[in-house]
Amino acid sequence: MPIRRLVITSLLGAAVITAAGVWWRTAEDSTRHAGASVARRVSLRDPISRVAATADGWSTPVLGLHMDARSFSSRGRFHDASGSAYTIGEARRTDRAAECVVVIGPATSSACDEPRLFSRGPVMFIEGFEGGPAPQQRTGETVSGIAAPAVSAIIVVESNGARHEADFSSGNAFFFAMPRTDLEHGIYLDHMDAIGASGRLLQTIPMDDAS
Amino acid sequence: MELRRLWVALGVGCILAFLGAQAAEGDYTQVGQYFRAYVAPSQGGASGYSGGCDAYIVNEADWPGANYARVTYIDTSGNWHYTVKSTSSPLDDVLTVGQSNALGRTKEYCQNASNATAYLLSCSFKDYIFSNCV
Repeated sequence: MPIRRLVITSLLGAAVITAAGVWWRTAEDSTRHAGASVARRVSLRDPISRVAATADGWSTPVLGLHMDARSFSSRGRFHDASGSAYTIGEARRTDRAAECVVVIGPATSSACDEPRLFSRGPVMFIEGFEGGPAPQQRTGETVSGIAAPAVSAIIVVESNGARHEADFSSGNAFFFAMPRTDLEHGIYLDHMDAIGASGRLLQTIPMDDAS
Repeated sequence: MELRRLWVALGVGCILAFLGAQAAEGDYTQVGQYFRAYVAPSQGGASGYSGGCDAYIVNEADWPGANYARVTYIDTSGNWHYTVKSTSSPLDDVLTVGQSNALGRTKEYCQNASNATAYLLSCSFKDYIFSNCV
């Protein structure tokens, strides 16, 4: 009987010591990371969520924090000059308080309107660039989005006055990639025009992109 | 004989505890806020740099919308990567772990990208942490 008690005690002790070791390693990771932050960074406010470290976990598409990936629906698919694919669609936030345009390209981005798509205007878009931030330092730049049903075309106007009609899908998604030569010459996006039926100008959207 | 049983039980117990601990351990993610302030045009805030055992995978900016904001990943040489900008809030910029790793150590940065309007900007990160990393 004493031996059985000793065995049970030893097993419990081993389990407690090992669990404490695991907890210490996890806590050490969190503390080290928070400690490396800049002064204005605040402490972590949300609980740590564990995720499976599977091969799939590395490539599982995530649309953003608090995005409902299952609600994603595609509006159109495009390619840039280098052949990179861009799938543009919409999805909801998990709290259903907002609807978002989603661009799945080399990276994934999303931008939302509350409470519904186009609550602030007939065009929802995301501008993306690599390099920079000054326009002449950028090596690639795109504008992608979705337009309300009233919009039939998106015209992108560059700082040199050149006008380009963005590629437009049957699902009212649009995509435009800046020509590399324009970027090299410091040309930037000046504004976009949303064009309605019979060519009527619905909205001019300044891009505020000079710097 | 009893002593031998004791040692066998102890060995099995230690193995089971070790296996259980390994199963409980694994890569995980942290979500948190790295910046929150009223900012003038072209002003913003950054996170700390990632270390060798973690990788930033989501950069989110939250502001009143209508005006521009942008988010990006900045490497240790100061180069900007995967920058996105919009007038719609919140704005999320998501990388795979592989993409983030390929950039080396990075920090997240968010910025008021409007021409003339100051606003309250809140920025959050999601960090992928490799637990079996030295």
